[in-house]
Amino acid sequence: MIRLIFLNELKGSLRDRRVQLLAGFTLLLLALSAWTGHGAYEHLQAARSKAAEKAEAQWDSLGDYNPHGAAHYGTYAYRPLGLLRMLDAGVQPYTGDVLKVEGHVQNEAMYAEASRSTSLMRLSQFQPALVLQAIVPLLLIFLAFGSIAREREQGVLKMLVLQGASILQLMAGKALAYWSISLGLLLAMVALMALLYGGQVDWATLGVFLLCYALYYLLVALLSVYVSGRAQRSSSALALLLGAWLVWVFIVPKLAAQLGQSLYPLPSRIAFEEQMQEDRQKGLDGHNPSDQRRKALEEQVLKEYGVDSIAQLPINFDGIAMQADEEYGNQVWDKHFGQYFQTIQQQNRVIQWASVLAPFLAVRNLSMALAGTSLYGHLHFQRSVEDYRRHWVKTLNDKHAYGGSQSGDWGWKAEAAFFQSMEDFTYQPPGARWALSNRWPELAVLLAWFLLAIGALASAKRISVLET
Amino acid sequence: MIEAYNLSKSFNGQPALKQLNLAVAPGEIYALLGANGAGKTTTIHLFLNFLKPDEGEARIDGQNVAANPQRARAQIAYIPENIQLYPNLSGMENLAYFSALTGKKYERAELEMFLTEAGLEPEAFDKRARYYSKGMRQKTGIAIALAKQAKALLLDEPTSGLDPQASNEFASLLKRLSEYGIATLMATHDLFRAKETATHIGIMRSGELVQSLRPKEIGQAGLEALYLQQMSQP
Repeated sequence: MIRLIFLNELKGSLRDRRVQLLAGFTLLLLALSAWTGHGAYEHLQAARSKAAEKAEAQWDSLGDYNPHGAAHYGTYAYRPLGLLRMLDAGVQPYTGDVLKVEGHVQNEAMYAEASRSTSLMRLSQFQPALVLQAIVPLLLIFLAFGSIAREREQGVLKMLVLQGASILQLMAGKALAYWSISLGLLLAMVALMALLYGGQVDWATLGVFLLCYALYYLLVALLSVYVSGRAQRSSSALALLLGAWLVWVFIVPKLAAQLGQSLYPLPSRIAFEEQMQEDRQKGLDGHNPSDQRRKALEEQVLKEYGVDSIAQLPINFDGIAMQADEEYGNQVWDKHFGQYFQTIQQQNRVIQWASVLAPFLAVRNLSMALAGTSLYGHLHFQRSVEDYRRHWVKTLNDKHAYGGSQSGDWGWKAEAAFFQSMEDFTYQPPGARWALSNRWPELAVLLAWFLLAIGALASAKRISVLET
Repeated sequence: MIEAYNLSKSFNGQPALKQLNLAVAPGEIYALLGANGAGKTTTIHLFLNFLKPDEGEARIDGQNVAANPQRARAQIAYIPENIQLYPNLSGMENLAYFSALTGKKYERAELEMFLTEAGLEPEAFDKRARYYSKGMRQKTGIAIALAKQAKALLLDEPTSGLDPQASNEFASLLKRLSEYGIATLMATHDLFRAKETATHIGIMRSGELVQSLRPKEIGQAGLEALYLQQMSQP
């Protein structure tokens, strides 16, 4: 019976000019967002390729060079652009996906945005994810608001019930029909993006990504049909559903982001950098300044080599001192990065709680997480780059210290082959399991809303077929 | 086939139907006449089990509709006042869908036969229902009833909004259905069609069946006079 109702509703809907217009408009928006994204992608890809080639060529052509000079010269770490990244750019437009790797400094996009985390939590760009998360549900609302209410107004509902269909079967069949239209749009979008961007696809992550959207659309379809069944008039159902959409898509996300920022504020960029600088100069506890640390290290190394002065050392003490300073800097960075991460987590917890009121937030966070473009994803990339940077700097400092030069010999040069042998940065995105490990509350919220929608539908089996 | 025993219904304490008793045998057409609010549609809705009676029983083919709604509904076809079909499906597709809901699967030739029997022109079969007149929708509704092979037909103001020719065709169709043994109960304001079509007429006022008669017993002018007399009663 449900299959029959589903097929009939689907056929009728697909032939309906209004539905064709709305679905066509949504498809146009999706194509437009894909096209504009594609323009940006091509530009970005070209710029990245050019920059990467140039940086690689420059690095390879360093020739014989001083390792510390090379550490200042630096290199670049690029985050790969994939299909999911193009479907949902998440916070990446704000955080960027290229980091410069160099000695002494952790270059982080988070610094650039540290005082504007509210911006990080909203999507204002016209991108496929926005259409998938906000516009497709709007289409579902327009498809479903009259599904039961209008048939009741027209008397068709009485005929259907008399023919043997139950209200529950009608609601389920109709909701499935609208859902399948939304799924069609989703799959069309993914196919279009795959054609435009191709490349390697993580099928497991893409599968979970599609499942999350499918679940989201199903609950929107079920709730819309339920509201249509409960409302006295189709116009009332439309007003109620549009109100709910506004609350879900605009009001709750905005309020939640602002609440998160006011409850757990992040330091401004200047304050953040000043604090890092201070800790590095004065020591993490404020009683261990850099000159004292250097003096202690000098004594330790002299004792280790059994000599009285730096000039007597068979190695270059400058390299050891730089590495020690680097490692201290790393501790400072870890401390502040940890605090930053903790605050971000607290802000995100507020958003997660808010998603209880608005499943839009849940699917938005899940989508970003699976696309690897959430703040957590960005921090994962940043952490990977930092791990690489530490290894990279240590390699250069060790060369400076033990490569054959003497302390104070800043003009010493390592051979070109050494620089060419250094490993390039490669980033392996963490995948669906990792993404979901941070987002189980959103997944739970989505499932809870789905169960609520099913429960609502089950409770509607006794709704009247008569107008009141 | 269609029977009411002391059927009563109130809304918010206001009686809408009081102790209605009537019986429509197979092949009979019973027309309920009355002003708006007289209780005609309430009666129909009670037979359809869309409303629960406060007292009494509505029965279809011997089944108490409130106690056995599924069994009773299986025997009922219903055409509302302003029948609406799925506008983006053809008459043929609408008929196929409504029939399939009852569990019946017909071949196209069989569906064509029902539509033809109901009086729909063949060129309209595959035309989308959005282009149908009310008369054409009524005929498709009748075809749905024929395909259901229901024993009871309930109609709510079936000729309202139909032009005289369509109204006349509809009356002929009802007579033909009665020849198949279908029991018909219709609520109407149309005294002329009631007189022409019905085998029994009941006049309702303020929820009560105040008069029941056979059209043969009275002429058209007599029916109108009787009706107006009943309506003018305090």
